[in-house]
Amino acid sequence: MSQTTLGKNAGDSRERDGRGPSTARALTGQALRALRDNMRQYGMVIALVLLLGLFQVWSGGDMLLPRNVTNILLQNGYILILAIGMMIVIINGHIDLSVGSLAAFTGAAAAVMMVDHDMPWQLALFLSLLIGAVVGAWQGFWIAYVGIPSFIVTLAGMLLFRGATQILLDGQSVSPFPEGFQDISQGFLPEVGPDTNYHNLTVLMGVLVCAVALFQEWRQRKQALAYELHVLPFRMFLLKCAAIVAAVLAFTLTLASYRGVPVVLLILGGLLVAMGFVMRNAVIGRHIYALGGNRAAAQLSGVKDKRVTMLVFVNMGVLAALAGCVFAARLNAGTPGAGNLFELEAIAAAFIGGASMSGGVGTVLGAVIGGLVLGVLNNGMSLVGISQDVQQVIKGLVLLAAVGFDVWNKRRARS
Amino acid sequence: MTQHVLEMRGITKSFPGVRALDGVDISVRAGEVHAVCGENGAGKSTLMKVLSGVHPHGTYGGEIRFEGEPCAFRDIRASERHGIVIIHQELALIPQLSIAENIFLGNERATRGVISWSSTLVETERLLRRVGLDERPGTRIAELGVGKQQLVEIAKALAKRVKLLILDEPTAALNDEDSRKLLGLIGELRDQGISCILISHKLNEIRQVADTVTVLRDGRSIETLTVRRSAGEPAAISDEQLITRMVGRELDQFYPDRTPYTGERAGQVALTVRDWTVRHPVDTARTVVDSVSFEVRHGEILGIAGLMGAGRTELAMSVFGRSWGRYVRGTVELHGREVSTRTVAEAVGHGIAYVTEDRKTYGLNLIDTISRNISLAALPRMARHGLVDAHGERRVAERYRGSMNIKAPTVFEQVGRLSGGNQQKVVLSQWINAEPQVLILDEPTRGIDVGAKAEIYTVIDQLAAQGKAVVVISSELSELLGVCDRIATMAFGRMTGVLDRAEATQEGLMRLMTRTGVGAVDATGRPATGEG
Amino acid sequence: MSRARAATRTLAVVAALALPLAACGQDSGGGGGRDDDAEGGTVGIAMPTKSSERWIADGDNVVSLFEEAGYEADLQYGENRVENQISQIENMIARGHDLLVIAAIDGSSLGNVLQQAADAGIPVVSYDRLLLNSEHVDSYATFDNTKVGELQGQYIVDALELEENPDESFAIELFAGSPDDNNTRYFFEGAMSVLDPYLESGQLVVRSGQTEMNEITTERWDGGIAQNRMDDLLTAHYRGEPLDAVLSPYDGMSIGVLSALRSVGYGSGDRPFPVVTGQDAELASVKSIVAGEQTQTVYKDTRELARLAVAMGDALLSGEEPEVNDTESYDNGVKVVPAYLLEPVSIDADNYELLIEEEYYTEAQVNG
Repeated sequence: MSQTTLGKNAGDSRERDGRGPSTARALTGQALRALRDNMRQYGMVIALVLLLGLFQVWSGGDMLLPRNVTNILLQNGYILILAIGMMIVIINGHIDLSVGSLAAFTGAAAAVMMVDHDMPWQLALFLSLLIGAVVGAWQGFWIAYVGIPSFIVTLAGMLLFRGATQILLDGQSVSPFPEGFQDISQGFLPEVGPDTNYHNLTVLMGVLVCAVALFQEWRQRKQALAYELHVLPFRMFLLKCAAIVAAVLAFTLTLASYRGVPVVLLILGGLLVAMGFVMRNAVIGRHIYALGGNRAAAQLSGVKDKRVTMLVFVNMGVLAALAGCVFAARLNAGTPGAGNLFELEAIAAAFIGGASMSGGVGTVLGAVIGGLVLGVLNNGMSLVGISQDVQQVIKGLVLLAAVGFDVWNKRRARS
Repeated sequence: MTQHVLEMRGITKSFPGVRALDGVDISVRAGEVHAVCGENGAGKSTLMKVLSGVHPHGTYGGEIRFEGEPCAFRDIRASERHGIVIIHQELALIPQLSIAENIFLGNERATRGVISWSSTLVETERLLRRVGLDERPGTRIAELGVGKQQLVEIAKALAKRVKLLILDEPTAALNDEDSRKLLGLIGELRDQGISCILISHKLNEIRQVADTVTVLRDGRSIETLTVRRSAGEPAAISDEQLITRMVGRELDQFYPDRTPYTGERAGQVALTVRDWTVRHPVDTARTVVDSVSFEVRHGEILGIAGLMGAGRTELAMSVFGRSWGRYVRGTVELHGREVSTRTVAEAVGHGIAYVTEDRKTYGLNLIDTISRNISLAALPRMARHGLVDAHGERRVAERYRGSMNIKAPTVFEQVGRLSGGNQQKVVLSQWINAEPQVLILDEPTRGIDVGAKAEIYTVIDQLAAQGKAVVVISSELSELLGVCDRIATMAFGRMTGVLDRAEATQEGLMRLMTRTGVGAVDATGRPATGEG
Repeated sequence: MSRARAATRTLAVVAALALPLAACGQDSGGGGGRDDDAEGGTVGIAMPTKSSERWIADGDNVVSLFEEAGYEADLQYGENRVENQISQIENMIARGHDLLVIAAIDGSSLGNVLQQAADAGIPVVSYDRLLLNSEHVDSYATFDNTKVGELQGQYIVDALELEENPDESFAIELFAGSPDDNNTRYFFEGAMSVLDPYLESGQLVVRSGQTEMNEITTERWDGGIAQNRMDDLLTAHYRGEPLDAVLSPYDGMSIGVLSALRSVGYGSGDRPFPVVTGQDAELASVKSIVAGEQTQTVYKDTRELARLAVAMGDALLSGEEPEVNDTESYDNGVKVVPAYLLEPVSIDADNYELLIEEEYYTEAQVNG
């Protein structure tokens, strides 16, 4: 799913098919040029790969153990879900500080419904998401229709829902949850079919994803050629396809050699594809970018800014509720301290992933990559035993460096 | 022969991929007004940035001598210390601060970090008298009009003991009266021995005030012409001479001949606005548009003339989805049927388009691509089931890139990187793509170069020829006279007259534009209503 | 060059990249197989936070004792955030550590990760704070937490001479620890078991009326929060009348309480500080006791606790039963966890030198 988004805007840097020189050096040259022109998209992917490599060596091979790769997904699932919503909010030109508290509140609500009122977990999950939507609409109302800055409204929300969580839980943790609910965060795809050394369904999914991705690449290339746009030289195209297949297969085989695809990854993958598609191809997505890029111009172009902003916050509310449930499922408890500082991690992920303070730029995939950079950093530093205090210093520096690099890169491009 | 205060020799400046300046020579004599003209992208701004130290010494080639000394400015402060002050097109004043605070910003009258207010105020009053601005030093900038702000900028330059004043398009945002005042002031400063470099698009201004003019084209200095040998003489060159050198070709057809529309709706009234009255959004006691009525037909171009503050933009924006001000009364009719235009979406839905005068603030998403900007207003129509047809979008954008001659390598170029003229073409494309019946164009050629202007006039003519009803709001009377079929005039929120192209002259229009205390004229040709 | 050859080469690249990464196949699920750099194995130690002196000392002690016993130690602090601690424990399991010693941030939130540890066959020692709602807790090393509370309560009773003067009445305010810490309850119940009779007889009066545990808990054992609450109590209920005693369960909170008292004039002239209890014998509080401000603290020799945890871990790894002295009190909701309870000691101005004799602090640290 990643490659389709990444390749999308690379058009300007591509060379016409067949005109590329045939030596290896020229090929590297082309690759480097494509890289330089798309620093925004590729910079963080490269950082992520470098980080993985660094910690793989440093931890003596523990980093890429199937079990640890699975852990990274489980440990960051809820932050990534929040980061996706946060990216959209930031693209729209707003900010949401309340997501941590809201995640705590909805997780607590689900806990109370399931544990104290013996509600089936599916219903509790649904009601939690509904609460998230209602809260999102509430905040969206103040921001879009009353015109209070989102910073203020969601700051209020942060306090409000933190307090509401404590009231709801009476300061105590509520647990344990039914199996089904725990599986949101703890579960994996079931094992089916013959006993191979790998998790069969996961391998199957990996192959499917490869096939879909290659088909997409091929279709895009064909369309681009039909419209006489610039495309990658055929050999670069092959190399790109090969890289995609290698990455997807390596990832799925790694997961398959542990317990398979975790449910969290399914949720994340679904969100990434759906939200990425909406932001790229739907009118509403385009309107979100336009509002963030120039609100006044978008309004004068007939964009219904109030309704769009409202929807963005409803979406954020639902995602925050989902993250809250994933987190509660992971703890197997609704706790009053849940979600503390999640908003800052989600915001950091969005900015590392290429969002801009003034709105209008960024991709959903970028948010996920930004979140993974932070997550891998956390996991890797914990693996090699760097203490929490030093970890915070390093994370602060990484955030600064990522955004600083982006600013520098933009300035360079402009001059 | 007067000695040269500034000599720039062989100035060369490159950016990645572009050579912006290529061996430019320019010499300014002491106490002269030296105009620099050229199309956008000719290198005027870059040249001034080199001179003022924005591009520091070492990043460009060539030699600068000021008062005979070679110069190597590291930054703006260094050039200001030598007495070279540049006033940018976008004014650099802080609206929340007072005139005095702005004038001495970064240059405070202070001892050991403590500001001496008394000397600041005395000095400010002296400077304000010198530029002929009758305001108190404590007045906040936000309360001043653009013309007065421009004077404050000049006062600020004088406070820095300016010897060479550089003005970048100083009258771009000014009405004719303020422009005249400003040009007069430039003359006075020259008489006090302050040299001046005037960057301008407006050829009549150059002829009015400059002593010498240097024409730049494509990063080279083409020619330096003498406008007049001494102050007070009439100009010795014509617009045609300058234009020829700026564009490098003869502009035999600057304004296109009007192509008549002969379709089935020829002569049919498209848009009628009646008794339109709007108050200021904040200062609600002020009526900004007062009982205005007008109509425009299919295939017709209606001009709206007026000085700054006449209420033209306010009229257009309030009709277009009530995007400005507080609605009081009035109706909008399309083909004789009254329609609601309470929101922009409704107005767009009825086939009305408004192309803003301020494309950077209200027109474009500068960080997005050409293609996405062009499609924005028509997205719902171009989409199926809420999904944008990416290829269709690209096709549309490519079509406009071709037909509007938008100079960009691909339609995926960021709009913010285009020149003003090309940006204007993108905004126009966006609204033409919305397939409107009525197009309101607000200052469609502001801040763009001569070549692009001619192209835009052709586009306007063709829109009318296709049967669209076009309203053009402009501050340049020659432009209105060049492209419009009828010209309505506004003054102080009211319609004061409407003239056919044949009977209109610049003088006649100006009389109507400055007329006060008369009853409103109904540009629909019926007696005015709402006179009170 | 033909396209076919390019394609073949590309496929080779795919294979080269993909296979080694995933060649290991499915995990056996057994832990501890891989990690053989130390002869005795590696111990993962999860502690709550580095923002408290006490946990830093605990961490250092446990690490050095395990290392002395021939183990490798991996110590990580969760900065009081549950999700951090879960991730850290998961990472320890992933690295194939052989034993986990866990001082929980929130004892009820670790059920799932303990299940993972059990699946990987890794024994778990619950350190100081009880791990709740999980059967995968092998033993519990702790101080007798009820006893801590009893010592605090008894100290107040003795200091105010309630037994000797049955007719006199004193004002007291109560503080409890963090609501998400299981020990909070034991401390509070211990203290109240001593104080309750006097509250009922009216010899002790809580003017604020706040005597239920959920009214008086202090988030994260935060001294600042305790100080704010004390400020508010003094403003609301003690503008004229003196306050005679404060039950504070932890030194960090006692310091906050004392600051609030000082700000309204206690501790100067003829207004002595009320009796203020504490726990953990933190250096700041010991100095405060010597200076005559805080009255009492409860000393729990955390080196003893560390020694106990190491002994338990050593036993578990050698396949023996760890030594315990309580198999009844600590029900974690799923099972009664076998525990070894260490005896706490009450410290005040009369016996603080004990801390120096036992080399818990040096003379210079206390009086310097």
